[in-house]
Amino acid sequence: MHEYKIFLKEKKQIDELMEQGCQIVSVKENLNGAFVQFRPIDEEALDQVNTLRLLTPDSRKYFTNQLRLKRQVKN
Amino acid sequence: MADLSINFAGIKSMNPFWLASGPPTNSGYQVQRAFEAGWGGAVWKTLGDPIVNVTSRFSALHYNGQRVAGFNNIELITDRPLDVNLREIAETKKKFPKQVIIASLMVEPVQEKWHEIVKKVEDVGVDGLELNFGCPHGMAERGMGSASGQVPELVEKQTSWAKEAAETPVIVKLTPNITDITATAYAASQGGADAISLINTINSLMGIDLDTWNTIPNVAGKGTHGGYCGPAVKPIALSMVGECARQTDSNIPISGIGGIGTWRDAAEFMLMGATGLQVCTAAMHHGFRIVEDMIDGLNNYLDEKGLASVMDLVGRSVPKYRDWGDLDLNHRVVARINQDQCIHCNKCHIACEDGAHQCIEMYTDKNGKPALKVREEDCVGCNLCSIVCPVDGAIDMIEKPGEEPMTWNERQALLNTL
Repeated sequence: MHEYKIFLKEKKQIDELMEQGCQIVSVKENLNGAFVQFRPIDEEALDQVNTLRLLTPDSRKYFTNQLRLKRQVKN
Repeated sequence: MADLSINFAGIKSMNPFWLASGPPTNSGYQVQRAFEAGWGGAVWKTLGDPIVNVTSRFSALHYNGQRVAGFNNIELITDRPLDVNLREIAETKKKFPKQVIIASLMVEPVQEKWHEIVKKVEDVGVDGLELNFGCPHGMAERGMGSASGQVPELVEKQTSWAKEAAETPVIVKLTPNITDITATAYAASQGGADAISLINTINSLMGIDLDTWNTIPNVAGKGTHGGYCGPAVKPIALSMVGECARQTDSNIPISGIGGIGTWRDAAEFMLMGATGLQVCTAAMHHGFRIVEDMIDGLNNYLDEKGLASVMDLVGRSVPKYRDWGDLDLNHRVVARINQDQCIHCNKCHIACEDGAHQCIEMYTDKNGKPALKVREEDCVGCNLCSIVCPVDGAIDMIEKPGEEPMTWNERQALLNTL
């Protein structure tokens, strides 16, 4: 099993959305994993919501660390 | 040389090593031999209405060559009249005035009975009292021992009755046969206890004879559950001591009991919050003179650590013992196999494949020899490979740099802000 490869794929998806100017607006965690909702900061594109289903524990850590980082930068 | 003396709830002892209430403290002869060997104190075998015992009484778990990894007994409290015990306590105290004698007590949950026995034992000069609310077998069927100790209201009430009559410190001995030992620890403190001691023995059945189908031990073909103790219970006892020590609503002194047999065990219990220590199974297995090694070892350890007093150890690890939610999710360690030390037994590979996260690969090195390596990116740092490895130093757990610390509680708090 190479779970790390799945993590790298999920990390790339998270990074791409962040680079596109999206921010995490909602997280729902249930039996099927974490469902993380991203929305652009740009007001004109507010209706463009992307939801990632994250399967790996490393991804669940990663998006939380990214969320904290963004908050720290903001403050 | 460090100072090994302790002050346990007002009881001054030359060292932290006391014999626990049990077979080794059944008589003045034994306790005096123990004091000659160097024990700082002894908790006299539980006094109460004299009982009748059965034979046989003890059994042991021998595990992979280690004799007495665990020990089980179905012996009850003292089978000798109170006045005989009291006379021997007085004689012993006279011969050994500097050593501590604690009277372990067990009577029915009746106020007058507690008053009566407390006064009688204090009259012969004991240094303190230990209320036995822990014994899991025999006496529990009569409403005493752990039957009392599993009900916080009964612990509080009986402690307060003992305190009404007591002039010496009252220690409450707790049973581990309960979901949350801090509930009874709290009840004891509410009842006015000066200290708690833990753990008493754990409900157990040592085994079944596969030829006769009798229990081990058995009494004429019938058996009953007993109290489990010895090295195997140490992790359980240490955890319960830690749980009590970290309660912020009570800083009641703790006497640690459960699998203590070496100075290392002693140091661990003190670091986890025990001011005093009690030993039984190790003394039954090896004799009273094991205390010599325990005293020497603890002394040397304190010297190595530059500590002047054994009291400086007490509770130093308690702040490090936390709820799971306070642990850092971002902390990362991975396994690394030292090729120079590896004997290629493949135990780590099999353990990782079958019991962990499938990240140890077999390969052939440049010299054509079989070798093992860890795929670090997939390693979750569970430790299993280093635990099963038969060669010390062949597998190291290496710390990897990671993100800033974040606990589960902090993570959930962050997500709740969305």
